[in-house]
Amino acid sequence: MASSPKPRSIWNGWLSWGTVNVPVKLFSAVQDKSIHFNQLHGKDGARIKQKRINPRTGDEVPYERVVRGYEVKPDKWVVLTKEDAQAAEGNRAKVIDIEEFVAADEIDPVFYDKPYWIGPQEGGEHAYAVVEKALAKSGKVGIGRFVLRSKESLVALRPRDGVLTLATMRFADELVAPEKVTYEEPKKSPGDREVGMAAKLVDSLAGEFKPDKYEDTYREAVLDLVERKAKGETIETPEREPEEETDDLMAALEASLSGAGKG
Amino acid sequence: MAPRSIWSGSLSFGLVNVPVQMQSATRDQQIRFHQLDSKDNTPIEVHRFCSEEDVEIPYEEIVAGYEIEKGEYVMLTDEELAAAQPEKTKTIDIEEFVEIEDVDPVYYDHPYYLVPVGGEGASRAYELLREVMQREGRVALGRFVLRNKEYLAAIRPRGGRLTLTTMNFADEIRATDAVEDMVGSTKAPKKEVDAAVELIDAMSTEWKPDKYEDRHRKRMMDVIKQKGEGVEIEPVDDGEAPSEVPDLMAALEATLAKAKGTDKPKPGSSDGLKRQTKEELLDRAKKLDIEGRSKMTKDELVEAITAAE
Repeated sequence: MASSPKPRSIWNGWLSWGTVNVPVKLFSAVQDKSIHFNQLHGKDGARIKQKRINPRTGDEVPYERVVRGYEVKPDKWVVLTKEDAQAAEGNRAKVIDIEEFVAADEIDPVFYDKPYWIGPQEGGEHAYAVVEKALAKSGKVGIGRFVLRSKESLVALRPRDGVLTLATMRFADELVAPEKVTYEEPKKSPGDREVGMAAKLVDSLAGEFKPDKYEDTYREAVLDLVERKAKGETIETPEREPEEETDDLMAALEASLSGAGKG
Repeated sequence: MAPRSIWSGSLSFGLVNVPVQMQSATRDQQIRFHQLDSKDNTPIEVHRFCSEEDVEIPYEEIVAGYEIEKGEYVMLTDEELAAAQPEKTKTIDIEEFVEIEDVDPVYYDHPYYLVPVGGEGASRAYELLREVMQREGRVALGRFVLRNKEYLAAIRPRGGRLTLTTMNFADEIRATDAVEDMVGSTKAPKKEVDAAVELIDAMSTEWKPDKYEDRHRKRMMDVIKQKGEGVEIEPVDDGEAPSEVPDLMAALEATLAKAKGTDKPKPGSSDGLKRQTKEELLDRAKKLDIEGRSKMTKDELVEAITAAE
């Protein structure tokens, strides 16, 4: 990984747990590198701009006239001012409030939303190091609440090789429970022989998790396209063929295994 | 309502192909606000205009432009962009299986479910893969194309189904070296770490995701309801910032005594109460049957609740 410029913290406050308070800073852990496009008018290549229109009057609405509304029933709007919305923010005392701890491996990863790195502020290094070490030693994750950009989130505090990480969490009602996901179950469960073969196939493809080895080849391909197009090249679109469904599971497993062995 | 399929194609490992559909594993529960024109409270619509001609542009005439230099764009049609996609866009090709605990959760992005489609053969192959992964504690890694973009994805069993989670690429995860520098060579003394571990254990519980509710959402709905009834919304105070701990060991011990002792740090400790909104305090006062609660100030509520609990 290239050495990065000094990151800017997105939040400064306290990591607080009982009577233990650690002054900390928060940094984004993820940097979106997706390629972003602008919308253009195909005919003349001019930028598309968005206008806010009042459909009743047809007028463009100036920014000063835009307010935030919630539709309580059809066509009945409650307008919330900034101050009203602030009343819903919760504790804004700049605290990551750790309420309890749970075993790290109990939390299904689907709950984790956005990750952040936590760093100590000056004077907080000692307590920071103790909290990180203790979490690592106990195999636990701290669960708490905290307000970032006027929204209170449930958060998980996790140690990661000497660095404390914070992840905002999805609430249980924001996730679809597995039982709600239905599909046609097989009439006949896979037999022992199939399971044995499949296990062998999994073993033959077993590897270590090395995230570095996966590059975003799509990002590179798009940039390459842009370059070719800029030079005036014509871009041809390839044809794709769909995969065929496996008819004979056992035969496919056997063929895969002999293939995996060779290659 | 039947869940919508976001993607359909085939999940393949070795020469086994399972036709699958992808469904979202999340449900948007956010409160939806609209922009209104304050003049007549009409919901605003956003229309697309050409910045040169100042006329409205239909969706079909819009193309993607990549800015190669300031103000200079290369235009790409959807067909041209498709050329950047890998050969197989309708396949999730499992490249390898890794141990579940080796995957650092910071890599996980958005979760989905995969379900088999197309009858007995597909269901059996799906079941087989799910069972073997469950048994071996493995996650499958592969790539696939969703909405024109290629993703790395992790597939693992969950609750008798297979989930697929899109992953951040390694170069999208920021390096932690700057944070490590902030910690520097600070040592964590064993005695303090042990005390902290003891405290963590004393405050440990089972992970029960259902018990946490989105208080922000709830409070926002309360505010909307009150405002709709014409009630003036009271501003909330910022709450008090904590102060630094001069003696970490003493603070750990004090917290531990609280966690273990008779005065368990129940949510009723006045520190926690002070951080709640007046509505939350009223709610609680109601449950405790505190008389005269509706006329109390926030501080009086905190006092009354602390006394009652």
